[in-house]
Amino acid sequence: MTQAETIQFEAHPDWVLKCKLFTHVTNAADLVTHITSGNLPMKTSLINATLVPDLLPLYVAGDKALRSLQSDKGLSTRTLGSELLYNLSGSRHIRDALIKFGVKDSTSILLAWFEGGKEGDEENGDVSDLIKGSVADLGDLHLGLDQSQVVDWYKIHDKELTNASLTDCVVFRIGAKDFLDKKQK
Amino acid sequence: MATKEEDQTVGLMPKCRLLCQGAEGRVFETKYWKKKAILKQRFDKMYRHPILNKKLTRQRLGMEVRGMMKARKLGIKTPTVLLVDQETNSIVMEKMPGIMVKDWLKAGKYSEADLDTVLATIGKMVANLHDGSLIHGDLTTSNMIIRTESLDITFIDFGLSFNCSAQNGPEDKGVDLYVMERAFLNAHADLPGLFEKVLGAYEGETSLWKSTFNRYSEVRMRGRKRSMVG
Amino acid sequence: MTKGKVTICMGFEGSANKIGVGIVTSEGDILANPRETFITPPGTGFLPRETALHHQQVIVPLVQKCLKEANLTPKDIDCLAYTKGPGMGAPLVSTAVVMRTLAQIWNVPIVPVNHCVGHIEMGRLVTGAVDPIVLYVSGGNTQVIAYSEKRYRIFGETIDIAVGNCLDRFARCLGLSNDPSPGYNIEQLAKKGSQYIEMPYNVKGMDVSFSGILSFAEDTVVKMLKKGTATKADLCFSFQETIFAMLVEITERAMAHCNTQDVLIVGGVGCNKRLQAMMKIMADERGGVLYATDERYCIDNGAMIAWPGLLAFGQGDTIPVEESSVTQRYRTDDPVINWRDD
Repeated sequence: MTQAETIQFEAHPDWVLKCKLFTHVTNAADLVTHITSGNLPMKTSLINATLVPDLLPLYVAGDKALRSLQSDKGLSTRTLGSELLYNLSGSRHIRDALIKFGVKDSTSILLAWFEGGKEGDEENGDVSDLIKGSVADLGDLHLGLDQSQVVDWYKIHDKELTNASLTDCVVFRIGAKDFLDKKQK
Repeated sequence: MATKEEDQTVGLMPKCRLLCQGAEGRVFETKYWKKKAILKQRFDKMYRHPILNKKLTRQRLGMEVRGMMKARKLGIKTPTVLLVDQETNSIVMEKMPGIMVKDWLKAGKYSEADLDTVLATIGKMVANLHDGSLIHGDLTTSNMIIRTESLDITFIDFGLSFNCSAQNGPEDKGVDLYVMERAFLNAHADLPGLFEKVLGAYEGETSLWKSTFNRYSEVRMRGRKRSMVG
Repeated sequence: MTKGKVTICMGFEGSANKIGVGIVTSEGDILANPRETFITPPGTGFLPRETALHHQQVIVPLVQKCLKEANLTPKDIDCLAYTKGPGMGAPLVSTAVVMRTLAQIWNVPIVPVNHCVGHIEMGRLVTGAVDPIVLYVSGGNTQVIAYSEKRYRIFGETIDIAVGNCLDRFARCLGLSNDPSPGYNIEQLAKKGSQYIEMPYNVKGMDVSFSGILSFAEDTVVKMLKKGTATKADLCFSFQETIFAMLVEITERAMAHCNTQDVLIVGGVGCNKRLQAMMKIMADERGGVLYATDERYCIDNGAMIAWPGLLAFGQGDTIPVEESSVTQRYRTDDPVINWRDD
């Protein structure tokens, strides 16, 4: 099986985020059941890969999640895994975000899980075994991208794309989420 | 000023190298996911009252981020914001390749045609901002970055930016232009006529020339005619 | 400046409500610098006609007092310098008339001086500041200035009213005394204030606007005092904290823009200790030095005209009596600063 990609954070040397891309997934419905019944490890996210143009948005969303974890305010959602999804959405509406970026009926899924943190918390976040599909190279992430959905969800203007890549447009919205107007998502 | 060479940790970001102390805060170079990035930290200004300080710091952080977002939607190039950290009032953003327009003008290593292109680009960019009701608030040549090969211009430092209302639009735009005019005059006293070219391009691009120009002329006269007694 | 022989200049300043006569030597020694202030009753400002009349009444005794204090006779004076502008027309004229008369009686050359440049050069002389960013704050001016290529260039300024004017009008709405000055009384009262009341804060690039905070004050202050939600002291404190923060901010913007570390504060509002303290914190933090002067030199005086007069005299910049006119509007960046080579 292809090895997972490991993302290291400058700001959080004790943590890493591991990720794997699955295509031709056939059991999305089962995965949703698994998640809603609360069986997914706390540090794990299953992400609709068609909305993720690159790993940089994942990095920023992960960085933000870990910052929230360490701040007095704490997480906005229940688990680190769902926080990653929520941040990735750039939205302030948790429910909408989790539905949109969750796996629903996806055939292309990004599995991401955090490792590190407090000692003694050894829960394994890698749930690769649950996913029925083929592991793909993360470099092929963009191949499954649904650009029009991304543009639509993040409300990216045509003029923005004349000066910046789609990834940059997405990253800006994730990184600056708390400061952008609500209507801008 | 702290020593420039040494790396320091700012908030959670390690290995930040102080580039300069701007008026708004300290500007560091750092890495974000292995890429070169700029970290701009608004630290507490000890000279101002804590309540005022907190209000301004937060306000400016928000204005900077929202101003950049809005400018991008108007087709203006700005750095990509990578992360905003509320705990330390800092913004991590993409490091734009290039140099300040101020330094580019001072170095003088350009052709007459290049200069005209750059001034026209600036005029058009400001017109696009203004037509979208966005006021930059600090249009100096230090707040514009130029890529010397392509002559692409990026606007930075949106900390004083804001959306103007339909009612105050002409006044706010007039002041924005007046601030820019004086920045050109002062920083580039040896190169007269730059601003006129910028304004010419602005005129060609904006759809609101008359109201803006009238108000700009008025703002200018106010400055010139102030009695200055005492 | 002429080497060897020490030259002596008498300077005349009367552009606003102060009339001052000062004697300075080319070594930078201030031999005498007496002045008189036209003080109006509380709640009122000074008007050109009355101010001119005041100046006319006191200027001749002031010249005599100045010579006496300096222990000199008219024969010792090498040139006369006067404020050409900016300022109020009638007081400027009254002062210039006396200067012209004396120049003809004493048969000495005349040097015109820009009032704002006078403040800057006096500040540099007294503090030893070399090439600072200058914050010039007075009743009629609010400017952030830096020297470049033979001129004092205005990097930032007020886009509406001057800070001193703003303070005066604020003092008027509180009914504070004009003696010794409205700003001084605000400063004293502010020391007793504790509650910070948020007021409009308006910075535009390196420029400031005070009309917003002034109309807020005029609308709100009386109401708050009536209701008892704030004391006069609280209001003075909050007003000062807000407008001075604006001034320090634009100064810092200019410092960052020009890559300059030191600051010099000049002009009447510049003697405010709180403004100086705030500016010092900012300058320290940037690794620079704050240069400030006290009321002897911050407030309009004759020496601040005599000194740049001497500097210009050293360059041969004298004018015939027919050309010794005054002008109400004379920008800081108009005159060429011949005596600086940096």
